[in-house]
Amino acid sequence: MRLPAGVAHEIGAAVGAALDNVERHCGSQTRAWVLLEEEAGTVTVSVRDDGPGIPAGRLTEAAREGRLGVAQSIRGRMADLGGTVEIVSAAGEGTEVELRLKVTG
Amino acid sequence: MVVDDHPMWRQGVARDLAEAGYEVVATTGEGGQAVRIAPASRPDVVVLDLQLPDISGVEVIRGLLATLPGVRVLMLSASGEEQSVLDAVKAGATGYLVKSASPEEFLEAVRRTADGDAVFTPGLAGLVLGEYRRLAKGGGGPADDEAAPRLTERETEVLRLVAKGLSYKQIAARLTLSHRTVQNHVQNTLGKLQLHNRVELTRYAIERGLDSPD
Repeated sequence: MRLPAGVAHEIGAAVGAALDNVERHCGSQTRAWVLLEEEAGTVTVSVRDDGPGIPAGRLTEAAREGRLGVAQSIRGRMADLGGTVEIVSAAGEGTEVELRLKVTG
Repeated sequence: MVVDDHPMWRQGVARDLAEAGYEVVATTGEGGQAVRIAPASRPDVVVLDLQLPDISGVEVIRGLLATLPGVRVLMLSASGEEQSVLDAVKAGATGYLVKSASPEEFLEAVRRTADGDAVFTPGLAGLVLGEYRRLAKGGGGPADDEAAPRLTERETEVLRLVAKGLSYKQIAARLTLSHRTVQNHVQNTLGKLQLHNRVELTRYAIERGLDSPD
């Protein structure tokens, strides 16, 4: 599947932002994996790390305090493209960010 | 048996194996020689560097399995050799490890390969997932659509989690399955791909035979 250059660039930037978060918030021993999939017209990129995880409520709290790092650079970009972002995390379980974009045609 | 064209690496691997209690029946730096000596040295497991100077990893694996059908192949490679890793898996290798792995990871991979487990890296799981999707789309040949092997939903789910770096133990916990069941799902994903590859090769050979005027 071929994506328009602008779309590919934005997805790449969102993945970069997710990886930046791993680097910023997790220890140097933390590993991260990126899985890119394409199926039935949907592109899915998963960024998972085995770091300490994000404590429940931390992201909404950060957004309320006006720290929009994750919200802006990941959610904002994907929303602009018409895609979705799912962030799954629990203390001790690492963090998984899943970006999805339905590409028609 | 250890097959690697770098003498120091080969000796190091053989020494690690011997120290861990394995009997190293042969070492060689050439794929052709590995295939020739395998029937006499009868290894249970072959540790195979995918990048050999004489013949391809796929040719080595086919040659080994032709004379020793039950032999297990654990391939080692530097990262970034996606296509050759996938080809080797389709040819019958059941284990894969990157060369940057630690000695402990290596010995664990040998032990599991010997036990008949499929030894995956997250990268290999991603490649296998992609291959199934490619085959399902008919990317593997004209008549492929119907014959294409398919993953069950559960197998896809398990393979995706392996590709995201989860251990079998973590996958078992997340999906509330036993460790053994997770292993079986992963093994099946390789088995179906290998079977499909054999069928395709046979069909190709028959078609070629029928098409040829003599």
